[in-house]
Amino acid sequence: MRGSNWVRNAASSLARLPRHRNMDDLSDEATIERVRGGDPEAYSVLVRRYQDRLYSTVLSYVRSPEDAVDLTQEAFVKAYLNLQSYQGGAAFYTWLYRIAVNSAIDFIRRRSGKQIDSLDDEKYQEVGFEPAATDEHSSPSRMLARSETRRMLRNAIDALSEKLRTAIILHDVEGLSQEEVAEILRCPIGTVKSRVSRARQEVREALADYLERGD
Amino acid sequence: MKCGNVRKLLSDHLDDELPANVKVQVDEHLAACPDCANEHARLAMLLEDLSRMGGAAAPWDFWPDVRKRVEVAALRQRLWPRFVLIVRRPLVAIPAIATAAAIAALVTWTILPPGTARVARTDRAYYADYARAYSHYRSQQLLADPDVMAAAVEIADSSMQEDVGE
Repeated sequence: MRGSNWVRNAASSLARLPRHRNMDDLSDEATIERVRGGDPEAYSVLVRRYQDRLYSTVLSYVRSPEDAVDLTQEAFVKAYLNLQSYQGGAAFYTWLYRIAVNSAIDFIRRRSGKQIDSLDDEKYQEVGFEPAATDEHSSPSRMLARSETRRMLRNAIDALSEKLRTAIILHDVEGLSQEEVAEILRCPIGTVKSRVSRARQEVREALADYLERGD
Repeated sequence: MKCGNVRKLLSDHLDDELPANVKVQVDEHLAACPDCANEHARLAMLLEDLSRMGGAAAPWDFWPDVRKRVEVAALRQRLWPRFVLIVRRPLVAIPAIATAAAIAALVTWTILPPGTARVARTDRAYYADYARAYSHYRSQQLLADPDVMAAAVEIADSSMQEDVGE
């Protein structure tokens, strides 16, 4: 039967792989080889390693925790189904980021005519987006000011063009280097630098009135 | 270095991407120009706020949901690709659609309820009997109407007089 042949092949492939006490210690490439060799559970290592970063990036685009969870899961599914085509030329996580960013951009394009719901900070606390304030000096007025700043920042980022928004989210919000962003977007580093600079300038202009009032 | 040129370099300055000699010139200008120094501080504050927007964590049950979706997607991928590739070809798709439509029409025709078929078919004999019965019923209704009876009597009298007159 085909089922028993698959099990035999998977077992023989696994036997050839080096043993590790803890799969979390495996590199991305080694983990991918285990998955390709017939150990789908090994994929959990990659998912757990990058789920937070990917989710945070997608959330910056779609601004809805439910949609961000759905899109991020879908990105991991697409990556799994296309693992055979992953050549290893680029780092796995940049390839994964590209899938997630493209999914988020496609989602926004489809949703472009619909109203974007305002974000609820409590909801974000529930899923870990906004950690609860632990600073003993955080007064309600300061928290309100920070909340208002975040809201205006989100609106300013949403008003950017797709290319500028992607550059500022990946570089300034998610903290990826210019080289990593260039690899994800498949464009020269100079282009990334230019887009980040223009995006910052446009966001800065959008927030100019508010920041001046805060001085 | 002029303020306009310095403002263009502030973003790279904050990213530590400037060549050493250019960075020195920008630093000297910022030390001497309060306006550019304020702009530099505001941009630094903006970058700090942007960096705080990130760092969200996925839900705790993320991997089990991903595993379920992977299993379903992998199963679908194993079952569907050959079928979809074959059906997509026009030389296969068109005859297949025509055949499916013919089969659907035949099934609809044969499994219709008996009453539905009788009504749908034109049964000339049945319709002729119905038409005669209705005509007799209508004529009986007219004869029961007093106005119709009065008119019929007038017509009958006038025709009798004509016969007598001949």
